[in-house]
Amino acid sequence: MIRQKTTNNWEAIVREICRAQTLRPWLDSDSGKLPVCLMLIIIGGALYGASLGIWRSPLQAVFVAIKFPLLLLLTAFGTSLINGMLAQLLRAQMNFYQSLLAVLMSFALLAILLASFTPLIFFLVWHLPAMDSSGQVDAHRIFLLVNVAVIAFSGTLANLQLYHMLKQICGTRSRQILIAWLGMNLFLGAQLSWNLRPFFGTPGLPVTFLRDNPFDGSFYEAVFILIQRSVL
Amino acid sequence: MNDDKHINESNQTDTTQELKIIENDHPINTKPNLSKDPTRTLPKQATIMHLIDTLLKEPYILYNHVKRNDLHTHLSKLILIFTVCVFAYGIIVGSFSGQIQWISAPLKIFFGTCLTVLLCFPSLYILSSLSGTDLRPTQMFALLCGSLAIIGILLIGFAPIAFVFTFSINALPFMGTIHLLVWGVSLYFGLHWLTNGIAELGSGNTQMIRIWAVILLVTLLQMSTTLRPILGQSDILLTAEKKFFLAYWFDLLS
Repeated sequence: MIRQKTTNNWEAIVREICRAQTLRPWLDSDSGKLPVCLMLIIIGGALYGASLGIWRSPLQAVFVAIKFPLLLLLTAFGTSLINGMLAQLLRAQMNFYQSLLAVLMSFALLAILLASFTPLIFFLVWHLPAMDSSGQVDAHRIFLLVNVAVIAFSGTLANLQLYHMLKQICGTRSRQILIAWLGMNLFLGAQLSWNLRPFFGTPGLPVTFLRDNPFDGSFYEAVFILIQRSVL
Repeated sequence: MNDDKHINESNQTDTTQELKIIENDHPINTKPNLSKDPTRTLPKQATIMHLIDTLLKEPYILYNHVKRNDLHTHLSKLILIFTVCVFAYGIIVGSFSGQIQWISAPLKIFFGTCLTVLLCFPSLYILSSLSGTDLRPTQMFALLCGSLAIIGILLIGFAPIAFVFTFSINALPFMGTIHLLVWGVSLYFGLHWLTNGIAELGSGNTQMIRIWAVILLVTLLQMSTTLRPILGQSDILLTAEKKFFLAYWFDLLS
């Protein structure tokens, strides 16, 4: 009986996070919402992370299953202070904790969405040429492209949901707040993903948890050098 | 004068009501509406023929069952309808090449469709929840089984046509195109049934379900390539070579 009740609660929580109309009271009444979001991010992120790394090797799948939720959590907590400040500067009726909870809610939704696509990513991996075959370069490119599309689609939906919730709280200011939060999350998230690489696992390079000197250089330097080499 | 006006107005009202009745009875406007009679349900001992009739004519009765979360009493029958119909259609597909395909084609089509639906089920549930549907996974699964049964029934409806073409066409790509068309039409109506159900039981926003339908279609096409040969002759049961369905089709046509 207790087990069934818990299962129903989890189902209800997932459905609640998926529906923007009910999110405003969800943010107000705090009854263990933070651990729920954390659990969803960890489970959903680990499932999707495993599907990202499995093409390279099973060990890479284990590494990425740890790193992907870590990336989401570090980004959310790393930007929580500045996000809370920005929300208050933009006159949102939210405190620091609520703004963190709102960002975590959108990340939890992202993790749920990505986890729901995990069976399809495994299906794709099953069809890709193996790592040690002649078609590994093409396979790597296709795998990258499909996952970029899946992450972009899920990210857009998660942010749309966050926008609907912000609209209920902040009205006309919601767009500004969303852009400010998005900017902060992308700014830190891009750098953290650089530090925590590899995720997909480049063919030819050994399987490792982190690259040698993970804190040497930054995402933005790499992009700058790439542009410099392409243009000059 | 006043009486004339009254009669005219009365006639106009009658005509409008008549038009409304015609509109509601028109086959194009058969959008199921729970408000028709939310208490109407199927008896537990309903026969398979009765269930097929309800699936095609009065889907809102089955939507009522889903809403009450008691479609499980008819779930086994819906699955049976899908299984029998897909196996029967698979035999027709297999008859094009004969030999081992008599058995392998129905098995591949049935298990391939089931596997595809299971792979896509998590994303259907999450995307429908995002569009405002408040259904439990079991309710969503029941709705999906209903749409699979519709697909099966339509495939059986097309079976005689496919049978005629099987013994008339010699070229594999043409036969493949015919089967794709048949599947396409059946899928369209099956997904339409599912979308209507989600719209009736949820918020009415079906945009996400349309996106999901594209995902399902792509996965089904890839599954058909993975399980090849389904239509053509071959000594082997499955091909080890991995190919994307578009690349495979281009190779086949060239």
